[in-house]
Amino acid sequence: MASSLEPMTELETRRVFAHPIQARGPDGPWDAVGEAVSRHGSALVHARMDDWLPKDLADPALPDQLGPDYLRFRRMRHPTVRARFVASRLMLKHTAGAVVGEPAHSLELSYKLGGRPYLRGFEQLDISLSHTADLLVVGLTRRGWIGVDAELSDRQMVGLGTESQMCTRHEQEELERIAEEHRNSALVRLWTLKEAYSKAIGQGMRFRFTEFGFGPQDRQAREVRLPDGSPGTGKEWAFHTCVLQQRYTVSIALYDAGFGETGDGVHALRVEDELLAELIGGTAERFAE
Amino acid sequence: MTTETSTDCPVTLRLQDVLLAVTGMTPELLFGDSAEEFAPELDEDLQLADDLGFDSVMLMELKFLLEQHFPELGELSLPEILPSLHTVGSLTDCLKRRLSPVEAV
Repeated sequence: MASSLEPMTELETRRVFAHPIQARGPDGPWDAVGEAVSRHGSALVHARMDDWLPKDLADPALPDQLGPDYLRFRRMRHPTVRARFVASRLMLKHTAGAVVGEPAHSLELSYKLGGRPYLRGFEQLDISLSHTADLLVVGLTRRGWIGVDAELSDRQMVGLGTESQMCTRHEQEELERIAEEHRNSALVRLWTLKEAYSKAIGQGMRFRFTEFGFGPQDRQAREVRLPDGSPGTGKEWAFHTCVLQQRYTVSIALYDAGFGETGDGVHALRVEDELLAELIGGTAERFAE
Repeated sequence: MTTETSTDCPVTLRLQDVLLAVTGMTPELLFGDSAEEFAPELDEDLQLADDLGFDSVMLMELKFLLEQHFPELGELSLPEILPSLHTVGSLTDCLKRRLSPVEAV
């Protein structure tokens, strides 16, 4: 269960974001995920990698379960990366399947230019995936765009030249005012917010992190800020950061395109494959998760 | 943390130092052999994400260390070099390409 870094005390935050839901395996709880999407239009689902990792990575069912991703999986050499890749795809497919009312194995995961994942045929359900260490996180929305990012809360970021590479001038000035013992966690929070936002807009790391920012000392990120600290986005964007499983900082960025919270049912999420193929193309890059 | 900055070192040796520092791997794990001195040639097919376990924070660290180990290149832009951060080979090519005009001056 989540313990919020930024408790959802504000009405607007509680309206936009459902409480994170932990999925302990293929059994869900999917009713809770469905209810979150029905009520809020979005859901944030997290899991432990071990809960989704097949006992045998040579299981003959795996090629069908992974679909086109199986080829990439077979080429991977790093054992932890292989395990996380399988677990995250299975979790994502089961979670999305529960929302669109289809069996997980029937869903095809594809990638947009830049590596952003999407469900072929269900493009109006926007999805985002993040994983780090033992944590898997999936964000889903039918309101517009969603981006999620997770990092270990104590991941070392100070001392890697981080501030100058990822912070705006305004953020660097604000960080200087934060006590040294809290600066690393503030950087981790900023990093996850920036990653979540850049994933939501489909840019990933192609977007210079020094060109947009957040308030390092804000209790609740309300908007993207320009390098001088002035507001850069409006009410259509919402952000939230929380701590999951006691040791992970997770941020979510949500763009409300006005598609509505309750949607028009499962079939409204379908997009014809031919239309989709014309709209989207390109190869996946590897760092968009 | 290694801070080798000698511009006389071949590109691959300097890149090895960077990759070892970012991934935290031992040379044996990274290069697949426990010989006394690991191979001078990197496996160019190694993929940064899928084989070496790079994530986005490590990419930022990689950029930082590349700037330290290849000071003649000046400040690098992550968005600009991102297309080359696919395999060890594509990164090596990128560095050699960028170093050529520098060395020619």
